[in-house]
Amino acid sequence: MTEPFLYLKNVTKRFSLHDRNVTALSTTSLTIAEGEFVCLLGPSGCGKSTLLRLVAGFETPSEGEIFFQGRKVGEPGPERGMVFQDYALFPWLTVRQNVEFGPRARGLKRSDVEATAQRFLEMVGLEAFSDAWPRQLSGGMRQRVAIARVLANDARLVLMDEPFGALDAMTREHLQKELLTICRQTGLTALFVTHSIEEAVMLGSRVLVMSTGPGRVVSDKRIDLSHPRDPTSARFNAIRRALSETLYGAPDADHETDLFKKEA
Amino acid sequence: MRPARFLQRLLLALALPAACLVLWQVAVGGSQYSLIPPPTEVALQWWDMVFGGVYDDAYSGTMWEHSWASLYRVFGGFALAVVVGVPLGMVMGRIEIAQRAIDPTLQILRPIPVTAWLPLSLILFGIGPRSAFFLVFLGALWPILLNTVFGVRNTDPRLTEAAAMLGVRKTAMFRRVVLPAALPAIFTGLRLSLGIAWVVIVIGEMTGVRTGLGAVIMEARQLSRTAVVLSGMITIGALGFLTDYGLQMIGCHLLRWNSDDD
Ligand SMILES: Nc1ncnc2c1ncn2[C@@H]1O[C@H](COP(=O)(O)OP(=O)(O)OP(=O)(O)O)[C@@H](O)[C@H]1O
Ligand SMILES: [Mg+2]
Repeated sequence: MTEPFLYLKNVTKRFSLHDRNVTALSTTSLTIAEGEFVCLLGPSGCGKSTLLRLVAGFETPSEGEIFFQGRKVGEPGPERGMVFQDYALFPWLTVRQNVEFGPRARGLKRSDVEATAQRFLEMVGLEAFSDAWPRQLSGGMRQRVAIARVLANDARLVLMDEPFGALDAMTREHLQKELLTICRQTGLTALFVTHSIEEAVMLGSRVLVMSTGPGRVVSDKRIDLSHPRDPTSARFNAIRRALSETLYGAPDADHETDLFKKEA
Repeated sequence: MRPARFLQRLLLALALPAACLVLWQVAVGGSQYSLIPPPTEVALQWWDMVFGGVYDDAYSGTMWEHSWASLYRVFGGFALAVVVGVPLGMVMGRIEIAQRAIDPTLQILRPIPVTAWLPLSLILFGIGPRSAFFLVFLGALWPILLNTVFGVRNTDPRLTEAAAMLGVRKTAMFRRVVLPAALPAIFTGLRLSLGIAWVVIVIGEMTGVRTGLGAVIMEARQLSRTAVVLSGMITIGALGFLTDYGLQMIGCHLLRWNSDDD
């Protein structure tokens, strides 16, 4: 058997909070293959972000190990790119400079840096805004810069923490389509955290459901629908209902339900 | 539309000083034996100190020399404060141990007014320009230092994480992320410090230097030449305003990513 693309081996994460230990992620084992688009669903506080940050290398596991392409994950690295919910663009750099940041930090040749940046700016449709400052962009545009920045850095795995959570429905739908296209074009693997069941079924080739107290993965489903997916189709809705039952233990009647609404 | 708006702003800005001048003139203009000279006399004195040709006494045409001397000391002390304050602030903001070790001492030194340092400064650096540099440096150090510490501390950890994820090494993190992120705060510190440098220049030039706007004010005071004192004050105000304006222009350019207009 070849080594798995991403492999979490009995990973546990505890935080100490006012001399109390909080288990953010209880023992979790997980394998993700190259090219998969894995969506991560779960109620607030179940450890989705923690899982992502562990894979990114921003946090170290309290127990267990994480392997990426056979190598143990220690530090953050360019091959595991994170797209933050709040974008985390460098405000003092223009859009182009933000995209060039990674290749430049790794010491690539100037002409290569420029060509790479240009290619990914075009891919996300922002070449017209390449000299703008991040603050001059809309939320959706900033998110696209963040995606281009990670892609330009040769990320093999993108980690996305509710990347489209703050966007309106139309922009979100548009970016979802773009992201799928990019993933197919580049053979990218994605680990995508979302609060919306619909988004998970729309994008994922696999959906993991997590649960709280303590955080753990309770369901792992493959989604074999072909793209583009039709959210009104019977199969789409069947999958959505099943996921909703796993999450809340009751059928999802409301078309627009997401976790926030259910909790409120 | 733009020139009209500029004119409107200018008029608005000048209204208050003009009103003050009128009040001043009315208050002291009538009496013969006022200790404070009227604005017209001060204007004449100022003109004479800058260009000469009115009174032709010891003060005529000396304003340039005094201004240069003060500018030199203000920027000398200020530059010293930048060279010490920015790196020290970055180290203190970034390294917890350094902060713990240095901060208490600084907090004890900080409330001591620059005036109180004057005698010690004269002993340490002697009578003359070196004491002036030292005192301006002391006054200008705190805002730069504290704002740099603040700026570095408040660097969004997301940005350092993003940079680490993009392949920036720990050693380059400072230059590539922390410094630019802290720059707005550092610049606020620079502006405050430059302002304070002008405030303490008079004290700095009480150290027995012969030239400088502070020196000329102290000397004229002893000779009861109040118009000269006022001329020196006005010049300090004007130079302070102009240097701050220059610094602000540099800031606007460096921090254009952060500004609200355009
Ligand atoms: N740095 C930290 N220090 C202490 N506790 C933490 C820290 N980070 C996360 N936690 C705890 O770990 C648990 C999981 O947090 P996490 O952010 O992973 O949840 P999440 O699933 O991403 O939630 P949300 O959907 O609201 O973003 C929470 O109980 C949280 O309080
Ligand atoms: Mg989260």
